[in-house]
Amino acid sequence: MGKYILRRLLLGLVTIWLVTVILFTGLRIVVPAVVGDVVDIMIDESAKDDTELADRLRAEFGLNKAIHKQYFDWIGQLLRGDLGESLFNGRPVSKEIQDRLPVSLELGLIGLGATIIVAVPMGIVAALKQDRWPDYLLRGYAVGSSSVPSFWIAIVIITFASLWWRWAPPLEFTYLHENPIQHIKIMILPGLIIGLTPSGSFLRIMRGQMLEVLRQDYVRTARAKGLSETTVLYRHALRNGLIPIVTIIGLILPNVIAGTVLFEIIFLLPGMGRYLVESLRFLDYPVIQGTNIVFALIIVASNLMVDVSYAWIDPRIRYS
Amino acid sequence: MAQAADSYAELVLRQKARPLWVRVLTASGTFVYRKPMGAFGSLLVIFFITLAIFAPMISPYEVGRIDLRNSLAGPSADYWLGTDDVGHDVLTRLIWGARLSVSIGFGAVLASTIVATMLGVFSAYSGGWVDMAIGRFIDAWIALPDLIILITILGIVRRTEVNLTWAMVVALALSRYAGVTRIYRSAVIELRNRPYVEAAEASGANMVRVMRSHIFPNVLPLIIVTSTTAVPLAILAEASLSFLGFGPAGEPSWGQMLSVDGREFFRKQPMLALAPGAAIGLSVFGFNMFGDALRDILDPRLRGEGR
Repeated sequence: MGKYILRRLLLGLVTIWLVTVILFTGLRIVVPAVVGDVVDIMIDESAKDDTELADRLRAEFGLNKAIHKQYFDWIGQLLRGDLGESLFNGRPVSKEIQDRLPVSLELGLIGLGATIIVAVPMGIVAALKQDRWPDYLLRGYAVGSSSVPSFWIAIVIITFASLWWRWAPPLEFTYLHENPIQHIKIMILPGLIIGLTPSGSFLRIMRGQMLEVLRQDYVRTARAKGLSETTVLYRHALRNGLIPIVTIIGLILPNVIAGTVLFEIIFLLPGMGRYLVESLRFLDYPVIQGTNIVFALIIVASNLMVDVSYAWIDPRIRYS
Repeated sequence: MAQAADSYAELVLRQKARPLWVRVLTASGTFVYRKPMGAFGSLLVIFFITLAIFAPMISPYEVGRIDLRNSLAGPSADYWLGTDDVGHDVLTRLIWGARLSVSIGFGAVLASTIVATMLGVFSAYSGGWVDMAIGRFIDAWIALPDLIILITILGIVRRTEVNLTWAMVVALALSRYAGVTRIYRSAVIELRNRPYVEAAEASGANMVRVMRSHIFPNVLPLIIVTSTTAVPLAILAEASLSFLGFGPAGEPSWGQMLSVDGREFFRKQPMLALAPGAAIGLSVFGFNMFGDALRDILDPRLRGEGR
């Protein structure tokens, strides 16, 4: 097991390293060649012809060094846990991310929780009532929830809630430690809607998995030896049917992250996604690189957890 | 059956002898009977593709036409779905929005499929360290969430002169190709290990021949299924991005109709919010149903699996 985890960990590190290569190539080689670099944007309006200023700024940001040197500088920084500073307001990126990541994580966890609470029981019911009306109803829900865009649901709720009940989500963001009730009021709606889109595919996978388990020999054996249907269900089918939940969470995580980005922008929440979006306009590359790396880290870490938990549950995987 | 077939060969011949339109009709009839939801989905797909192609002819008014005196009007005989705050006909904009959504959706899926097929086949055929390097690279690409890739690319490109419709196609293709490359690569590797491919290789068939007559025909269903199910995702992504303001400005699109600029008017004219949402939902639903049915028919092994 230890060896397996170590191997996965190394693969994860390789992945992160390649992410840095992709990001650096894209942002520091391709983008400056096509669009222009951050200094071009900075002096765009005020001092277009001031080449001296441009040179000075490039020197200050270290953009005049050889490109491989710039890359190694950045990697060195990353290894020290330093994400650099915003080129526009000078604030350390890691500090900013520390403030913003909890907001995004909270949103994502509310969404994930909502999805699990909704999709797991629904998937099980759909499987148990296969090809009867509850199944059709739930499959309809699955199709519907993955067809209707979540941001549209948010708009409809906001519009009609204000039209019918004169209710509107608070505009001013409050942190949990400032005013917990106000904070929950702000986070709950976007959080719940984030969970809506992935719940459809979650339900479908859950249903498929349960059907698979119900067809297994040990379930037939359990029934054959006269156990009550409840015992068969809870002791044999459900336990095994719930195993892949970890995997499904890993699968829908990118979806949830996309949701948090979307809803941070719609509901003006100070999270990671909005930080990234705000930095793009100015090509504030320490911020763009930093946020992208953090997103990649989250995905890689969750994949690692999925792999490890899977190997823990199913020893066959460890030795293949 | 009118008369019993003497042999299987004769049956096949008789099948072949039937005119093409009869065969097409029978096949569609079977499809409608076996997959009613899929058939409904394909109707929606055809509907939206028709809107996209014939938008200039179908739409009741010209795209840019403004009727200031009738701004924010409710549904009426002149404006079936009402007008927006500057007096654009909502129906006209919906129809042109279909054009943008469908072309971006298809364009992105086509581009990413071509890249992924080539890369997947190349990776699978190279084997060794090349295959491994491509595999790790793909892993890294997948570690970046789709929407993050899309927003990063479009957010940077937005401030330049680049045509944003094309930029969106490219960005969507870049956000999708990695995942499918992985699928196609393993499919090709699996096929190469099949006895009939080994037999063909052993009997001296060159790579092009093996590819053409053994590998490609067997990967094709997979390519069709993954592409069809990807179109609705691309349409949804396009809508989300246009909604966030990353889309081509000036061109009517469903997402952009729902964006912040118009939001204050939704209370006065709810159709402004409902109509684009319905268009997105219906088209995505149609493509989803069509894709699911196609998957059941073309690749029964994948049946019932989530995406």
